[in-house]
Parts: sequence; structure tokens; C-alpha cells
Amino acid sequence: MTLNVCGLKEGFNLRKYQEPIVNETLKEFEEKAKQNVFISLPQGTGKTIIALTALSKLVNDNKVKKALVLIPRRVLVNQWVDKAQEMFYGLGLMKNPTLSKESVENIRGWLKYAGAVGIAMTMQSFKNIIKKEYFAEKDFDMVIVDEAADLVISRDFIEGFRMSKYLKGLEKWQIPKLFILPYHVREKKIIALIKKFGNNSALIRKMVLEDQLICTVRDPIVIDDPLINIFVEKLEDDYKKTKTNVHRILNKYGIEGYRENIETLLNPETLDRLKKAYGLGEETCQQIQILITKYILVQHIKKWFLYSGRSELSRSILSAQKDVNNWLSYEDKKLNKLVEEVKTRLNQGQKLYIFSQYIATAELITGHLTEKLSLKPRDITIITGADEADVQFEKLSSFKKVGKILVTTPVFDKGTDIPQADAIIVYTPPFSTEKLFQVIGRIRGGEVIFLTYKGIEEESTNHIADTLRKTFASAPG
Amino acid sequence: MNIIAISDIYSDISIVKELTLIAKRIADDKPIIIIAGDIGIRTTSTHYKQDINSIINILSQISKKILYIPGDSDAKHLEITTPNAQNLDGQNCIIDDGNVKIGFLGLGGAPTHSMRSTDLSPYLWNESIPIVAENLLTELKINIEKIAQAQPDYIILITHSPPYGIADHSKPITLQEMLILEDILEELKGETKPETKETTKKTTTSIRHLGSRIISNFVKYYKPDVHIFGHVHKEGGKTETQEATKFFNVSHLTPLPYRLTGRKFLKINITKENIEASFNHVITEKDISFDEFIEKYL
Repeated sequence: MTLNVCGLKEGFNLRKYQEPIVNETLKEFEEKAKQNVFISLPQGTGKTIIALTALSKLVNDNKVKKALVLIPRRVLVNQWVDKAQEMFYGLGLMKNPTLSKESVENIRGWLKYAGAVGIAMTMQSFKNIIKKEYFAEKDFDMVIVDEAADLVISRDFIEGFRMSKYLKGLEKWQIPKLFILPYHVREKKIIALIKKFGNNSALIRKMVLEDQLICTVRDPIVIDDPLINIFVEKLEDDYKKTKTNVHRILNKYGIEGYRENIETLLNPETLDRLKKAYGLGEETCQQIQILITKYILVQHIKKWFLYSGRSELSRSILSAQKDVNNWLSYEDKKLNKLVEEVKTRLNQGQKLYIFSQYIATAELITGHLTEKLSLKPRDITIITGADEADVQFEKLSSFKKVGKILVTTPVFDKGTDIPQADAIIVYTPPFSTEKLFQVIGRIRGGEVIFLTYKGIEEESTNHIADTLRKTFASAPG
Repeated sequence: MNIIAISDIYSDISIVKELTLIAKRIADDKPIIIIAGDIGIRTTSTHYKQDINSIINILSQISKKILYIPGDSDAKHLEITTPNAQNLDGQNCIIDDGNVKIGFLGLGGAPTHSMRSTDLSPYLWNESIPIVAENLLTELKINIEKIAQAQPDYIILITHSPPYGIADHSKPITLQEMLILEDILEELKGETKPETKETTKKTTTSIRHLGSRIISNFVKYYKPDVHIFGHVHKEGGKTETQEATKFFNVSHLTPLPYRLTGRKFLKINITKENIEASFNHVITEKDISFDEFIEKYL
């Protein structure tokens, strides 16, 4: 009888759909000799557990001795390693070691003699260790990349998608690589990922959702403010016109590859490349820059109106216009509606998670709710990218234990669970459906509530809500 | 006492003329006008002296007195000949209109760390050099002490730079922004654009606090009632109160470089009992539709 060196601890079991995915992954690596396996599963389905189980089986089969785990952010490295220790025996991973020439030999020794399975580090650290040649491919038998969707980014007008600067070079490694990414990554991006890593790759993509992960999407709460429509329609119209004008210039010169990220044309280096590649004149470059700057400005203003950016609007010249001045004279209807909704739900004993795409809006929401509902500081927690990683997790822990309301920006869009919340209120929707699923996936079940202005915003919000409902309805258990 | 506070004019005479039309309409009597620096731009040009004198002359016709300081884009020693205008850079004055007595003191220029390029900013000081910092602080202390002896009802500090940490959060002002400004000025004057030095010293471009630590230390310990400043355009229109001091970033009067925050002035009404302040815009057509407004002003 062979004793396993690592595996799930007693009392921990895989969910019914996890085991087949682990087996399929191992089959791809072992039987089909695939070099790269991409696992794409919905939020909250335990992708990390699947990866750790696959790793432990490979270690037990003596196929892997040392693994390198790459994770986007330092806080997630801690979470990953802690989860491995909590659920698995024999899966010792070193957390983001501070690397120096002196410490590398110690780490090698530790890896060799202390029975450690590998190192978990941020993608930024990976870039540094490769650059400084502290570690190389030969030091590992396997690489696991969590939240791998951002491995390729579409910023290059010649190649389309290119490797993110942090993980550049990883595509050349020949050892087995396991990539974990959310289900709602655009297909185009997944194809680009596989293309970068070569034909010897397999994709395991499944839409599995457990009942406890399915959210109830409520009808959006509609706020009636006719002035908002007047402002937003005009700004939207300007935005479209300006963008069309930029596209006209790009068409004229046959410039491709910037349609999705037109803002990159503001970068002087990019413009220099265009000048050389397409013979663009100085005047045309300036025209492009002016148009892009204008539409960015118009977009900003539109968001200020939709997402309660009253302080910015009140100090802008727009505050001098009679209708805007009138609009600024009354209390923000969206914020007030939020107060009503939060009050009702708090009275029902619910814990709430409020999402805003922007720090300023998150701060505004926190201040407004605190004032209107006479909240104590421990009742409401705001976590944004402005907080240090350690502070973010202390605050999250405080919310989980004693808080009532958590207000965050996309700081928790990847990998962090907030299962304690009963509902998520989306105050400003994320930029894409992919991001939206990441945000909603954090609460694992519960209700999803959107706040939207009647009119121009209502249509798009209803569409988002419908998409979510259809996804949840079509999910096999 | 009525006060109108402005800053960052950059030789834009037309906006000053527009301001005078509006000021006449909104004020019951002639105000004191405060200019918190950057009156002109390109100090070496032949028209600089003429520009700043024209601006002061136009404003003097609608005001009781003008109190100004040079900004980083101005010459340190401004040659202004208008009789009712006073340079407050490193100076102080008392104005008593019979109802309220106010002491004013000022400091021109800006810290070097707030600029990415020094080409268009001749009046900068490096406050990380101890002797420079000490001299500036001493100057401010001497002036506030002199004012305090006259026992005014209020003390108003006028600087071009914000204090560190208050309405000063932005990127260092970029060369490109200044050049856009230059393009407009060239257009106005029908002149060609000057060459820029390739040796321009560049500093970091990340968003950070651009204000002066000397000014912030001074305000912290000497607590003027009002602090008026400009310089950091994107934070223009911000108001804060800390302890006893009300802070106003009054930038910027010129419509550029940021159309959204431009055309701004602060109107203050001070009585013995109270200070009332509100930001206004140099916009003559407030009653046009939103669509027309966007077309016209953005």
C-alpha cells in the first residue's frame, strides 16, 4: 500500500462536480500529454480547490515535486496558501518569499529538504525573479496560474492580444501549466490565451452552479429623474459622435487594432509608432488626441450625473447652466433611493454588499448612508484600492464579524469571497459582463439589486439583469 | 466688505473683460479683487508686461483695490503701475472699510515639485532646501505678526500654491498642458510657437499632493481665517475648513487648460460677524439649453 504524501484533510470533501473536473484535468496532463490545461468555471465553484486537488494527485503520483503558483495580488497569495493549509495535508507552499541573492539558496534548501511542494507568489514577483535569474523553469515541475484571464491583454495593434508584462516568457516554459480562469471570460480572450501557449493545450470550460451559488436577480429599482435623461442623452450623443470621428480618421489611414482601446492612442509612444507605420502627420495626431480627450471628458461627465458625482459637478462650469443648477439644488434621488432600500433590508436583519466602480462614489455612498441612517462606524465598512492589502482584509474580517454594510470598488472582483452578505446592491455597474459576474460571484447566492434611472440607463440595466437571470436559469446544478 | 478672488489668468485678457461685466452685475459696491498668481505667462516675451498691466488696469476700473501676487508663470518682480493695485508677495496690508477690518498677507511663486517642466515657470522655490524653507517661513511669520498688531477682525492669507494636503491632489502640471495653453495664446497673438528645450527637467507624473509644506506648516500654527490659493487647476473650486481656517482653491479663471474647472471666481462677503463665500463662473449665457451649453463651453 502506498501512502499519499498529500491530500484533502479529514472532514473536507470535493463537491459532486469537482471530482470529474479534477480527473479530466489529470487526464489531459497524463494521458493526452497536454502541456497547458485551462480550467474555466463560474465564480464560487471552487476552482482553487480543484487546482489544489489536481496538484496533490500529481505530487502523490510523483509527477510533480515542486510547483510554482502565480497569483495576481499579494492578498490572494495569502488566501491561496491558507486555503491549501486549511484543507490539505502535505501541501506546504511558501508565501511570496522576499527574494535576494542570499535568500534564494535558503529557499532552494527549504524546498528540497522541508518537503515543501512549492512557492506561491504574485505575478509581479515572477517578473522580478525571472529578470534577476533567481529561479528558472528547471526549478519547477509545474506551474499553476490563478485568475489567468489577464495573462493576455489586447493592447497591441499588430498582434491583437499580447502577454501581460508580468508573465512574459511563461509561454516558453515546457513544463505542465494549469491555468484557472472565470467562466465569463470572453471567448475571444480564451482563444488568444490558448494561441499564445500553443496547440498542445486543452480547455475545460463548464457552466456549473450549485443552488447556493445562484443569485436571485430582482427587477431593477427605477428612479425617475427627467433631467438626468436630458443630460445623459446629450452627453451620450456627443460621445458617439466624437468616437465616430476618431474611427473615421483611423479608417482613413487604415489603422487597425485600436478599436477596443482607443484611449491608448493618447500615449505619445503609441502615436510615434503610428506616425512611422502609417505616415500620420503631427496635425492628425493632435486631432486624434483632442477628440479622444473630449470623449473621455464627456464620459466622465455622464458618469458624474448617473453616479451622484455632485461635488465634481458643482465645481465644474456645468453648474452654471440653469438645468444643472436646478438639478444640483435638490437631493440626489439615486442616493435617497439607496437609503430607502438599505434601511428596509437592515430592518429585516440583512447584511449588504454595495458595489461601486469608483472610489469617489463608494466614499459618497458610505458618507451618505452613515449620515442618513445614523450608522456607527462598525456598521459600515468601505474597502477600496486606496487601502493597503492588509487593511483590506482586516476591514473585510470586521464586516464579516460585526458589520452590516460593506461598500467596495472592484478591489474584490477576483478571488475574494464575501459569503456573509445576503444581497448585493450594484450602484454603478462594472464595465463588462465578465466583471459583473466576478463582482456578483463574491456573495455566493443571495439577491442582486440594481439601481437605475428611468430612461436611457434603464434599458441597459434591464438588459444586464436579464442576462444574469438567463445565466442563472440555464445553469445545471 | 466684498471680495472677488481669482487666479491663473495666463494673460487671457478677454476672460478678464467678461469677468468685469459679471462682477458689475453681482456686486452692490466695488469689491476688493484678489489675484492669487499666474496673471500672465511667458515672462520673456515682449508683451508680458503689457498683458499683466492691461489685466490689472481692466480690473482696477471695477474694484476698490487689487491685491495680487505673482504665480510660478509670472516674473518674481512684477512691474505694475496701476495706483490702486498692491503686490502682496512677501508683504502685508490692512484694509478697513469702516465695517470690518481685514489683514492680508501673501506669498507668490510655487514649489519646484509641483511642476514637471520649468520652462514656463520662472518663479519657483525649492522648499526641500532648508535655508529656502526657513526664509519663506520667516517672511510669512513677520507679515502675520505685523498684521496681528493692528488687531484686524479677520486675517486672509493669499498664496499661489496650495498648502500641502489641501485641494492640491493632482499630477504635476505637464509641459503638454502648458503648450496647449501656449497654442491658444499664440492664436490670440498671431505669433509662432517657441521651441521647447530638449533639456527640460522632468519629474514624476503620478497623481500626488502638489502643495507646499511650508505653507501648510505656517497655516497649521498661525491659523489665518481664510486661505486663498490657486495653481492646482483640477482641484479648482474646492473648499475645505480645518480648525479655524477656511481654504479656497480659486483656480482657474482662464477657460483652459481644463474647460470643466475653468472660468471660475470666488465671491466673498465679509462682515464683522460672518464670512459668506460662493464660487461663480464667468458665463454670460446661463439660460441656454443643456445641449447649447455643452456645445458652447465644452
